[in-house]
Amino acid sequence: MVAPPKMGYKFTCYLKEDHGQPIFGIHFNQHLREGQPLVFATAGSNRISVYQCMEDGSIKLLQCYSDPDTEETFYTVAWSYDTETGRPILAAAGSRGVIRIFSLATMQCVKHFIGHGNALNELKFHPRDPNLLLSVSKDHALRMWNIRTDILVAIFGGVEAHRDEVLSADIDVEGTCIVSCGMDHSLKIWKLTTDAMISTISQSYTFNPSRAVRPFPTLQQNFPDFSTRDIHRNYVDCVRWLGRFILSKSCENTIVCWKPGLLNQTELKHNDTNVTIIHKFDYKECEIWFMRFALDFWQKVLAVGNQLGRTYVWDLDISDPTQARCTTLTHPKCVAPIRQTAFSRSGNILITVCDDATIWRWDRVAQL
Amino acid sequence: MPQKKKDSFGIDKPVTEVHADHELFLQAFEKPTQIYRYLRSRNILSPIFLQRTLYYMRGRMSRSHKNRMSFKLDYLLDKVTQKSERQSERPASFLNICFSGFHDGKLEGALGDVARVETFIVKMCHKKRKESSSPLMQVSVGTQDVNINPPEGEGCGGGGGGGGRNSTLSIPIHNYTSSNGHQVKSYVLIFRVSLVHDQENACEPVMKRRRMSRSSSQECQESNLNNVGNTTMNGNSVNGGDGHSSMGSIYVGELVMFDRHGRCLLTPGKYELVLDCHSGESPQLCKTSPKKNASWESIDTLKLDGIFNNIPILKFSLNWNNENTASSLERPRLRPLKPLDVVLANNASTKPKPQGVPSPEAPQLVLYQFVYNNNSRQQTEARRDFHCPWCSLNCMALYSLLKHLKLCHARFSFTYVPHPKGARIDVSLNECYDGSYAGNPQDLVAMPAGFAFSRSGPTRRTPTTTVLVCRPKRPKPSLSEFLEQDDNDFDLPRSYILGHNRLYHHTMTCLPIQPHELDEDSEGEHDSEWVRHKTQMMIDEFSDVNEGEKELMKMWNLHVMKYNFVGDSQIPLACAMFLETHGTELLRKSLYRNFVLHMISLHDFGLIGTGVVYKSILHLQN
Repeated sequence: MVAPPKMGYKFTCYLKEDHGQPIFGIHFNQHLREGQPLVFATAGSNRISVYQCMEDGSIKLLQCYSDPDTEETFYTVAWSYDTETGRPILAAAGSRGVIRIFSLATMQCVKHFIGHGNALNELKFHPRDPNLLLSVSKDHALRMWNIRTDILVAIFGGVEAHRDEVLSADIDVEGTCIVSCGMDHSLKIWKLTTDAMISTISQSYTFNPSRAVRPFPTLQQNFPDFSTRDIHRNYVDCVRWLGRFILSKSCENTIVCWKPGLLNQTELKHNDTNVTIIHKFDYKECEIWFMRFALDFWQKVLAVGNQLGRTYVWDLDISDPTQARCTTLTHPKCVAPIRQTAFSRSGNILITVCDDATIWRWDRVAQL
Repeated sequence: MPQKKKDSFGIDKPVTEVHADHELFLQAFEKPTQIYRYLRSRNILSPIFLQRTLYYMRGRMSRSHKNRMSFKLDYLLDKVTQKSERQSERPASFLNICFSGFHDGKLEGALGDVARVETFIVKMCHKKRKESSSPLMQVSVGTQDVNINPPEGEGCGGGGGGGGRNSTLSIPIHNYTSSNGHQVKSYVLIFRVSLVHDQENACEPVMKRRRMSRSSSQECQESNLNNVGNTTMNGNSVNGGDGHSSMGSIYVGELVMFDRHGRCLLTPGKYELVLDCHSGESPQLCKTSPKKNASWESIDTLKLDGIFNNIPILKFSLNWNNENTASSLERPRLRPLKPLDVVLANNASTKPKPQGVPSPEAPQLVLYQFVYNNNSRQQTEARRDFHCPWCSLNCMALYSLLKHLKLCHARFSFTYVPHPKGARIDVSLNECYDGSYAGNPQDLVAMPAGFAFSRSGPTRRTPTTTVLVCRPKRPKPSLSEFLEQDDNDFDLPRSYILGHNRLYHHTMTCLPIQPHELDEDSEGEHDSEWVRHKTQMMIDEFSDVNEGEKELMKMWNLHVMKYNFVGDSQIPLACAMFLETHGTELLRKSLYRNFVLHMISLHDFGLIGTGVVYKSILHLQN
């Protein structure tokens, strides 16, 4: 039997942001392609910083934004682009509950969205439509915004929705489903392909507020298309789609790969009580919540950090999931909890961010 | 700051403590004072309201309505025709431009080479609503030949009358005031310098030079500096033409004649105009407003010597020459810019008697006393006029001054104490100052952020109120309202705006309610989709009820929720309506017996009488 090829990452450099506060979010701009600079943004304290990974292994600071309210703490960032000009757009949100949209070309905060009743835990852009932004909040709801026309398209919340803070969400690659998870231990799937959803989204592009008498008919989605509390026994703080499977983690030292319904079932039933667990990725010493894992763009590598500054990396590009080997990345100076990890588009660079305001860069080394 | 004298109290305090107190005192008053000083400068440059229109500032309003008594509509036409006749009668006066030379460090022509300067006046007219862009009219007013790179000390021919050699251009002034059916917004002088080819130059006769009496060096300096600011410098023009000078290249420069207030910017003097190189194109109308292309450079960053050597410059001197005529009519004269406070002071001196409490003729003494913490006071030098110490506004009268202080400087509280020689005003910090935004709350949440507060011109406001003009009965102005009050709630003028000055939010989305949505109440939660869905789901979850029962339950519940029956007396009506709308459906789903059972249960509970049961079943059977 041939051993699966291993991949390793080696430490390249680290830097520390001067505010000394935890950096909660980091995201690479995956819209930049081969040959374009490797740019990522971090969210920590009341600041958003934009960096570039240089060829020589260093990290260069490009831009930095600071909220005038010193009480604000940004928790999350997400990249998109303006569909008219192609220019990059950065969305950021945090404890104040305000979503800010930055245009990096003009270095301004061009828009802001209020309406969430509490802090925002995650932001995600729709993979097919760069104008649709999903925001996930401590007020138990998710909201979808059309940032081109400044309209609130849908609220995913209510009687059958989450009953506690929503901590994370993800939209699948084709843009058909949202999966969300939260402090109520549950994971819920919301379809975006229903007639009501499709028509509301297209209406949001054509609605003219100055001509309308009534406000925009925001879709109130109270009922998810699938819900389960059987995967985890504690706060579920990170979830991602892996094809038609779901990867999610809680603070129980394991990332679970599972699918709704029975193994061969393809349909989603809203009162289905079956779930099938496919694989568990175990690691150690990560018992605090709000620690996120990341997949690279091609979904071949998975990385998560623990509360002692160690990063676990799995190679997913193998046919037999039980063969997935794990490498550990450590550095003597990296001892603070790693809040989030992110891969560059090709997967060659891994960045992890910590509670002591440090940013760590790891570059891929092919091992034989 | 006016000088302060310490008032001694005779209380023994250690020196350091007194000093610390003093420091605190100064600090406390310093911040509001700085704020008001800053606002003063800003309001001079970019005012948000006019002082003379305030009801307590009648003294500053010089217009009166006396003419209204004798006004008749019929006279309007006569007035206007007379005015335009006067204008056309007046013989033209002239703008004389005397070109001294075209300088370009890159040109290597021998002395005596000439370039041709063609001057245009472009009138930019007011854009009417239907037009897509401002109409421009370009008129050529003359062509001159100028020397290229004349050495210093050479100038153009004598000013004024002569005309003489071609380096002087005279433009009759009526070019600038006729309207042509369009209202002219601004005028721009465009100079187009074209270089003739080298070979031709050699054949040109050498031009004779003339000397010109120089204006005083100060005026020259000033106008040059003036125009360093005024010349249009596009981003590229600093490096000038890239050595195109041997071809038939063309240099263009622009000068704005009048600013948007109608003041003439072309003060007499010597000018150096930076030109932009276009290679061999026809003269372009300036398509964009010169204001958009112009940029201000600060003088100390520009190195005047270096920069002006290598870029093409047209030098000329300019003056206005009013010819004497026999006409006795006054021509309107274009005044140069005046600093604004001089203007204000001038206006103030011609005011009629200010309103309000008649003040004694002798100059009043106004004494300001700063009170801090009720235990330390400082007095200032008294003033003998009614100028506000923070914004130097001449309030003309004591009442106006006090009213202005109270309203515009609300961070302080002012108390008036009559004084034998005039007035004493006690100034203390206003503890109850509410610094929150008092305007339209929509301004705070609108996108883009801060749009309503930007000073780049008027912004569209969304009105949420409907008051247009309001002339309330005001109490006669008296100084008693400023005397010290024991309790501060003498009757404040009631707010005249009824309606909403608050920001409301939608119930479900928590988004702000836009003003045009205020009329509709969209929040009434009646029969929402999710409630209907939920009840159906819950009924489906019953495990001990058969399918038919569930179906009837759902139908009945939805029906009741839709029409919102709340009283027992409405149940018979509910039954009747239910049968009308769902009768056929019941039979189709074979729920006849279920329905009968339902009727019986309603009867058992006393909600309907037997008659109703009978009628309903009869209805269903039909």
